[in-house]
Amino acid sequence: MKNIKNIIVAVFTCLSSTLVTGQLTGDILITNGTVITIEDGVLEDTDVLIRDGKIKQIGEGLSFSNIETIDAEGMYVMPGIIDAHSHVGLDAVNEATNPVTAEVNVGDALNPYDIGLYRALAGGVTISHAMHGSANAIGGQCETIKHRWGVLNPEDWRMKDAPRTIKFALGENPMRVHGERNDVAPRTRMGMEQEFRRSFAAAKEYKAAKDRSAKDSKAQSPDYSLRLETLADILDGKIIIHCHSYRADEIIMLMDVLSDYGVDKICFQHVNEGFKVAPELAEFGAQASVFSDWWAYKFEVYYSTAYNAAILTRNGVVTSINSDSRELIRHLYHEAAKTQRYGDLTDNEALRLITLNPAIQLGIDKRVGSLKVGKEGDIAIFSHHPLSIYATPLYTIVDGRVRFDREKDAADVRVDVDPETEIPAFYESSLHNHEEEGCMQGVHHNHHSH
Amino acid sequence: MMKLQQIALGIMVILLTSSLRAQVDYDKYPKASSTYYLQDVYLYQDGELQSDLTNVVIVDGFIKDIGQRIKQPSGAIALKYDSMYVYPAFIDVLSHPIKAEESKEKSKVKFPGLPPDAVAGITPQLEVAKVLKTDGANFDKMRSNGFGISHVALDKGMLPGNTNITLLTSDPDHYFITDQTHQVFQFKGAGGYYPNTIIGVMAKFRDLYRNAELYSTNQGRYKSNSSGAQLPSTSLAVEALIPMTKRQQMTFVKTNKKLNNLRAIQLQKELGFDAVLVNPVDIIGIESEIADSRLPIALSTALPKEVKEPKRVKDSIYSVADLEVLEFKERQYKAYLGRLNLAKTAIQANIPVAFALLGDDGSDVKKTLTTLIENGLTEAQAIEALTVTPARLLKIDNIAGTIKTDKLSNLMITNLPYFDEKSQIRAVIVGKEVHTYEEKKKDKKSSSEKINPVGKWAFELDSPDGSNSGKIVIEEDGSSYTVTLSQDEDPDDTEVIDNVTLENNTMEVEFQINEGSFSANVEVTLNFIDAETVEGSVKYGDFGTFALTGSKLSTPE
Repeated sequence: MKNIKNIIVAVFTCLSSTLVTGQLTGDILITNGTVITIEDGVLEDTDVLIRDGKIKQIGEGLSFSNIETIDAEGMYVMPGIIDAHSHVGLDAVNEATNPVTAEVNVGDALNPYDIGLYRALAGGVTISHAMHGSANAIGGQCETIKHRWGVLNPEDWRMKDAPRTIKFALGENPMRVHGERNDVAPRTRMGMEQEFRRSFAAAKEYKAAKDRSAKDSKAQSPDYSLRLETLADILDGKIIIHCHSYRADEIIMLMDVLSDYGVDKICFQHVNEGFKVAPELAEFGAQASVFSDWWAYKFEVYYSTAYNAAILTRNGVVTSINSDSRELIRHLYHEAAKTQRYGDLTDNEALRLITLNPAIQLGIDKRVGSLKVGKEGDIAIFSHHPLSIYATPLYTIVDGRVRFDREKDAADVRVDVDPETEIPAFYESSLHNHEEEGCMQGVHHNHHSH
Repeated sequence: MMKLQQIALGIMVILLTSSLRAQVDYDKYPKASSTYYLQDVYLYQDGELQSDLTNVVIVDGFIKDIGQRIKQPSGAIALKYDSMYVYPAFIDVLSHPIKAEESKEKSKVKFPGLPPDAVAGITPQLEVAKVLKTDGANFDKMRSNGFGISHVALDKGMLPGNTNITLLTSDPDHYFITDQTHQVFQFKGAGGYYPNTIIGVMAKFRDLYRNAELYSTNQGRYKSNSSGAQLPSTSLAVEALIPMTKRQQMTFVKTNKKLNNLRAIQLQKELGFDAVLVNPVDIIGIESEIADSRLPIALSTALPKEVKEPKRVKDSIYSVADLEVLEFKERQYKAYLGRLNLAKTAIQANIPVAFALLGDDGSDVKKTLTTLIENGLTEAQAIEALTVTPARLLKIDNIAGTIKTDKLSNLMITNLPYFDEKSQIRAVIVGKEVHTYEEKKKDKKSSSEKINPVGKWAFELDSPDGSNSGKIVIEEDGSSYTVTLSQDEDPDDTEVIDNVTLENNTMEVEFQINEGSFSANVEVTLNFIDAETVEGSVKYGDFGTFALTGSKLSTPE
């Protein structure tokens, strides 16, 4: 109990120091770390200098006056982790009323006050792909966000100029939501295919009608349709498709549809049967973003393998490992490490699954995903090698600004408090659940008093 | 607990019935004169009460003359408010005096992805003016609380319809002081139909807006060259938005949530309409974004739910659990203070601030303003936010908002300065109508003999799903009381509440209902009339307040 006073003091100092706002980019010097560059090998005892949010120099003995410095001796410095599939920080995920809602954009529903975003940062994740859900064949547009915890305006969370992406979904989810529940197409996997074909055909017609009215003053332009505008942008290659998928046959089906319409930018999500069609995916140029070892949660995904990521990688498919979960996003480095147990990927191959490869899938690999001079200063610093089970994230830096610092990790990091909502304290709720009397007895106290 | 949440959820319409002291000079015969004379009153002008007594002449609903030497014109009716205080009557930025009926069309819609506009909540072509005129409006209560002008709107769906700026008179023929109408937009999904979510609503708004621009162009093109041309598209809803796109109408965006303010600003930047942010709820930390957008805000006149200050006992040793709870409560309290400071925060950030009743009748306005003033707002800023700023914001500052000659006679008269604790509104003049209010005498009842509430009571609750009956058991333990509530339908399902206060034979009982995702704060007020009779009310969160009556069944030995 003698520590209580110290805790009180510490908590109050932290509260005021963790609320970083304003400036989006910063300067920082990280010294003497083991720098995992992803593209240029692992550099021992190396410094990384970030100026105005960009990596300015990587080398030995760098110095810069009056700059925030992290002594990373004994630590591992890697590119910020990128999650290609997340729904954290969104006030709405599914506009599930219509099987095609290409016009909606989850970027409109960003909620930068979601505590899950801070927890992702605490797992070294600097960028996530905030996605529309999988209720619709063609869901909504997604948003690639930078985890600038403390910045209150959602606009400033968007990764500016990141390519547009859109969510597609195959299989049971859209079939259940629309076919079973509302008795409209798509009811079957055959219907799924037609949903895509009909949508693309409508977009082609829409473009043609617009062209006609532009040339002929007597012809009325078609009614404006944000939905068809968006679909037309997909046909024009302006939007990358990220498609929720499980079964190999459906994956092939969608690639066939896309071939017919000349669309080639696609990353399959989940793609649990990707290992069955890895050569076909590679040939098409399709990418894959997978779970490390998560399946059998519904019938269409009854069969998969933890070797999926390794098989896809070995077949030349650009592969990433994602979370699709508020929990998994906190330790994607563990998920990447599993590919060494299941598939013997090298350290660099395993780490690429959560850095450069998701960056490629989101079209942001020229800017992030590896540590290179000129790239953006998104960095995760670990206590041990990030693929070690002992690794703990110590700092997470976004655009040269420290957004997570384990030493200054306050008990209450919320950036926005609604006085009308009671948020039960963890201990209070655990007391009500009588956990303290069970197998967790004493654990909470020990945890907080050192 | 019990069926309380069903009751609460069942409420769609709250009808306010009230007996008012207002006396309108209704007369079978036309008035002999519509000229009025106010002698020796203190005027609120230029942000303060003037120190000299002055006289005012009102002719046909307009202020004709102001001055100390102005004499009573012949034929003028003298209003006897000597030495009282005259303010511009309050202006409400947005209200909903008429509750929209739930659409019956929904059941016919088979495919939720493409509902008719009315089901989707897209009815910008509707006109509140028509409903007001035909069905009438009950403006009495708003007026009795000092309001003279209200910007009234329908409230159903994302685009409920055209608004109107009305004088709060009792005469529908004199409601409207301008032909100018505006639009309301809210981030309101269509309840299972497209657009259902905030992402759907924003996409649909963009779609409608772009079509309004397109229709306007296409229809213009067709008019100038229709021979052999294709007919342009038509749509009641889309065409009703054309004035918005041409900035001939403003859009009052009811944000109702902190992040929605930024979403409204995003849409406004993208599309370029004129907007006002209504009920922004919270702007702390995003003031500069709002100030940069140059959009004014209209705060709700309702106070945020009170949060009590947690007490940190000096030098006491807290368990880790207690400390965590305490710190959460401290932040919650701080956030509450931030809400009370909202008007001031906004004004300091150069954001124009006004108020909106949003369906309230204004009876809390003085209490709200007083609380905001205790938290840093000045009296002048408070009055400005209810007079000058809303007039400017509604673009009626040429005729309302201040006491000046040639402006509308839109006046509130109080016996003492408005913010004096004992001040009472004695008259509200709206145009040609003078509404007077008798002095309220202090309620003598409170000093009558003390009634012992302890015992078992039976009650009947007048709720919209029919009357509900139940039992209240009140127990006393020293100076504190415990109340046990049950309903006759399921007497075993009881709610034991110790958040109970008793003062002057009035008991306040407060508790929370939590059922899955549903939760509501319930406030029970019990007025003990005599040893056998209780009357009172039950307030279910935001769902409404219902009358309760009861009688004593037994008293413990």
